Amino acid sequence: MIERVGLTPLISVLSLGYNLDQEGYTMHRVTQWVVFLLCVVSPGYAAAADYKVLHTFAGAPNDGELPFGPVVAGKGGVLYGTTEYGGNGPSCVFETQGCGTVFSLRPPASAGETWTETVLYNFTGGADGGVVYAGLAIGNDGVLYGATMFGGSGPCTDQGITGCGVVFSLTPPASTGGAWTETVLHSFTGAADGSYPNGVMVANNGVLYGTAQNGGTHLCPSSPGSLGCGTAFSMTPPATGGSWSFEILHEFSSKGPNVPVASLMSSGGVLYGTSYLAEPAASAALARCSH
Amino acid sequence: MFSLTPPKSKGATWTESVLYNFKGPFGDGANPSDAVVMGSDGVLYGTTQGGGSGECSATGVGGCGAVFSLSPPTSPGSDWSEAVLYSFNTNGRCSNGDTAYAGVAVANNGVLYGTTDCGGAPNRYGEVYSLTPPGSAGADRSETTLHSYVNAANGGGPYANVVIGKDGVLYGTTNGGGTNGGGTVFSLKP
Repeated sequence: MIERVGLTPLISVLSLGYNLDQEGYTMHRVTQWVVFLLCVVSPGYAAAADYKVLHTFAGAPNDGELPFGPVVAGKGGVLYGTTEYGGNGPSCVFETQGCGTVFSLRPPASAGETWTETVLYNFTGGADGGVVYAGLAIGNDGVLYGATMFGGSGPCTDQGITGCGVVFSLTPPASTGGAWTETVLHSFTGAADGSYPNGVMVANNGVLYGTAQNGGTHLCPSSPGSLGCGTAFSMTPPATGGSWSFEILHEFSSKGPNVPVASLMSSGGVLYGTSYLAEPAASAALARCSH
Repeated sequence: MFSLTPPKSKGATWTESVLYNFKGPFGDGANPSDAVVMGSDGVLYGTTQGGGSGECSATGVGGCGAVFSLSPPTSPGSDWSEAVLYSFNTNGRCSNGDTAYAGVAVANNGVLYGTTDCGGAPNRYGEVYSLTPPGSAGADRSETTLHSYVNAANGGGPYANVVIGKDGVLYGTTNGGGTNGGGTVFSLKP
């Protein structure tokens, strides 16, 4: 198990859960019909009436697979989200197909009918990024913002994929039915700017705020390989054209909160966040989920 | 928990403040792994993967995770005040370890909604839960399982938080299950 644990504590956590999920995953594919039969035979196990599956992911190559992050609701109640894997990109890590997707899920015109899912973008795991754990943020203009855990032009290598992750935007098409345009706004280098971003939030003025699990100039003994303790950053859109302005707001260190594994929230101009680790350390061991 | 306060003048450095250091099991939470949300009361709400008063020590986890609140100081310069609102436990819910990877969503009426990745009857593929504010001050919040997963067609193993739509309906994802095993998007009307 340990050798499959990733470079960072979060990835370690994810890997613990994921590997277990993966082991269970194959089994569950075999047993799901048995479970389903149990559900039919035992009405007590049936889903509550107010619970509805809006979309079932078909997986690669035509659909995403394994959503890890939340959905976010946009105009008209359209849901936007991401999947870790799936889509028509190459296999990025593990034995899974595809490198992740961004999808939309449009509510039906009349209640009770089916929702319509559309894959808006397929990641390739190259310079565009790959493997999406984080959910999306929606800008005032309907642009979607997100982060990939891997891919990009940075030098990091983990789980068989290179890149330290990217922050990307996905711009709606000019005309209905056109393709969405993915743009890499920042490709992490693993140096002072950070590595492995946890996603971004968008403020009313269009500035993005986020955290990266590792990187920064303060090394963290708690990270395998003594990676950096992570960073908090802002990204300001250009006035007209040009590139976004990336600013490091904070470099976490082993002397305080470190290794953030979640994005930030903002209130009154102040950012609030959590860090997975901290000094003085909490005494809890890493959690693991075993089905 | 930390905060980052912008500088008074442009280009100066932001200020990091530690709002709270989790103490870990058995009692307090440990290892938060998702973002916090702020209620209309200005209180921050979140979850921790570990810690809490649940009995998950058999697996070496040390607590099964917790839902916490962090209330702003009542006077300038004093500390933020943390409270564990709910500890996940072994009662058929978390016997093999911690589950609360996702944060919570807070409704206008103060009810918190969240997910756990494992736990939940009958076979521990996670659940969607609610935590209702107590009827009287100081009393415990009431936890209700809104949906339990069996990793079948209706999904399994939700990893992310739910969001509350304008229609008051919860929307979320499951990281497994569905008829193809590739996960689902779901809605739940509480």
